[in-house]
Amino acid sequence: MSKKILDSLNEQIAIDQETIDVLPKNGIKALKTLLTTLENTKEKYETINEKMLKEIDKRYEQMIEVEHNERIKEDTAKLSSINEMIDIMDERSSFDKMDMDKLIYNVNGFYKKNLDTINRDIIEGIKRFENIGIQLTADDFIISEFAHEYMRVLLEETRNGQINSSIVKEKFEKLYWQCSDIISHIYVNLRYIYEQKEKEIDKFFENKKNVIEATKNINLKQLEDIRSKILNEKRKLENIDDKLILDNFYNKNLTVGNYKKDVYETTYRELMSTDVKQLSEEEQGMMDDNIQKLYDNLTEYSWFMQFKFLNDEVLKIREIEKKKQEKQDKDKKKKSEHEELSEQIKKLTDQIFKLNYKIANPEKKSFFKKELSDKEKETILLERNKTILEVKNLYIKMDEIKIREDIVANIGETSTLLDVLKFASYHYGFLARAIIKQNSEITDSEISDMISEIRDTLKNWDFAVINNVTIGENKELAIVIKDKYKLFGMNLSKDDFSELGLEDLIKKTKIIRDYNNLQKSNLTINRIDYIMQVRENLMK
Amino acid sequence: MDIADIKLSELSDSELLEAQKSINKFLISLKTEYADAKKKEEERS
Repeated sequence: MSKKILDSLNEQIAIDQETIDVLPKNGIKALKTLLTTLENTKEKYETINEKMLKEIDKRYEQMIEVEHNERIKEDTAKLSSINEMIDIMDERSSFDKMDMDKLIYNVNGFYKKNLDTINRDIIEGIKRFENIGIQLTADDFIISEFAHEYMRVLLEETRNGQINSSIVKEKFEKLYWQCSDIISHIYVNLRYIYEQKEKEIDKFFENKKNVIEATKNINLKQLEDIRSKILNEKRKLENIDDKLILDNFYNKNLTVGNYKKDVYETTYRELMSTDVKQLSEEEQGMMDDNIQKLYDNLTEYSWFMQFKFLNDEVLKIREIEKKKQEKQDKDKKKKSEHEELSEQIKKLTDQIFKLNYKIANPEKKSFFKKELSDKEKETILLERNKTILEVKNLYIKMDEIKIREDIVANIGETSTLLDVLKFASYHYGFLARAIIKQNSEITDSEISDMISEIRDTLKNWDFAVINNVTIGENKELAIVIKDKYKLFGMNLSKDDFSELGLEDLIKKTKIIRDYNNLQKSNLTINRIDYIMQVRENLMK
Repeated sequence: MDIADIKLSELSDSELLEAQKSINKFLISLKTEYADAKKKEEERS
C-alpha cells in the first residue's frame, strides 16, 4: 500500500517536472508563465516537505527515547561500594593504600615538572594524611630550615586558596638560590613523616578493615567473588542496553552496515565454517554463547598483551632475586637488604637532626668552646645537606629493593598472570619505571593516565583467562584460547593471534556478537538506521 | 494524485525518509530552475 504511495509520489514529481520542461522558455511572457508555474510547484512541494519533516522529527523523537536499564545503575553503585571495601582490605601496604607511592614518585621526579605541578602534588600528599585524620603543619617539616620555611608559606597560601601564588613562587626562588635541593629536602621530609606516623596509619587501615569484616561479615575473597558476579551481570546487561547500543552508533563505534544480515551470515561462515541458516535454534544459541565468550576472551587477551611487559618485568626480577636470596640463605644472612637500608636511613636521619641542632644553636657548641664561626656553620650546613641527599638516595634504593623482596615473597609458581599484574599495579614507582623502560618518550601525565587505566581495568573487568593461567604452567595464552574454541568448531589458528590477525578476529567476533545482542535488545536495525539517517542528513 | 493528500502515517519509516529525499531533490532542482528563469527574465527586461 505504502509502496504504492511512494511510487505515485515519484510519478507525480516526474509529471510536474515534465510539465515544467515542456513550457516555452523564450520571451518575457513565456518566462513569466514559467516562473509562476515554478513558484506554484515549489510552494506545493514545500508544504508537503514541511509536513514530512515534522513527521520525521516526531518519529525520531519517539525513537531516540530510550533509557539505561536501571539495574546497570544499581550494579555500578554496588561495584563502587565493593571496590571501596576491596581498596581497604586488599594486600597492599598502607603506603600504597594512601597513594604515597605516586606522591613520592612525582616529588622525586620534580626536575621534569614545573613548580605548579610539584606544589599541587605536595598539597595532594598532605591531604592524603588529612583523609586519615593526620593534620600536618609546617612544624612537621623539620628536615631543614629550607623545607620548613617553604612549607610554611605553601601551606599558608593553600589555606588562602592561592596554592601557586606569587608569594609562593617568590619564596621558592629565594630559597632555591640558598639551597637548590629544596624539593629533595621536602621529599625526605615526607618520607620521614610517613615513617613517624606509620603505626598510626597502619592502625587506621586495620580498623577500617575490621569494621568491614565485623559489620558486613565478609572477607576479601568473598568480596572479590561478589564483584566478579556483579561485573558479569552488568556486562551482560550493558551488551543489550538500548541506550548504550544507541550511544555506540552515535559515537561511530558501531555502524549500520555491519548489521546487515548478509554481513552477519558471511562473517559467521568465515569464523565457524558453518552456515548459520543450517543451525537449529539450540545449536545457534550455543554457538552465539561461545562467540560472546570468545569475544570477551580476545578483548581480555588483547588488553593484557598491551601490558604483558609489566608481568615480564616482575618475573624477570623474580628469577634474579630468587637466586640472590638463595645465596643469602646459604650465607645465613639474618637481615634483609631492605631492613639494613632502613636502619642506615634511620642512623643518617638522626645525624641530620643532630646537625640541625648545631645549626639552630650555634652558641651551645660545647661547654669550653666559643660560638660557631660562619665558616664552621657553613661546613655543618653543607654536611647536613649532603646527608639529606644521601638519605634520599637510600630511600630510592630501599624502595627498589623492597619491591624485589616483595616480588619473591608474594609471587609464586601458583600465582596467576592476573596476580602478577595486580602486584605490579599496586606499585606506582615500579610501574612508572617499567613503562619508561618500554617507551622512553612517554610523559609523566601519559604515565599517570596509563597507570589509572591499568588500575581501573583490574577493578572493573571480570577476567576469565589471565586469572586461570599460572606462571608455573608457562603456557602461551594465545594457544590456550585457540585450543578451547577449536573444540567448539571455530576456525582459529595461531596467526589469528598475531597483531593484525587478532584485530581482524576481534572485528569478526564483534560483528556476530553485536548482531546477536541487538536482537536481544528492544531496538531493531531499521529503527537505528532511521535514527542515524535523520541525524546524519537532517543535522540532528 | 494530489500530493497534498498523501497520508504520511501510511508510510513506513524508511519510505518516509525516501519520500522526503525525493521531494527535497525535486525542490532543489525547482529552486535552481527558478533562479535561472528569473535571471533570464531580468536580462530580457
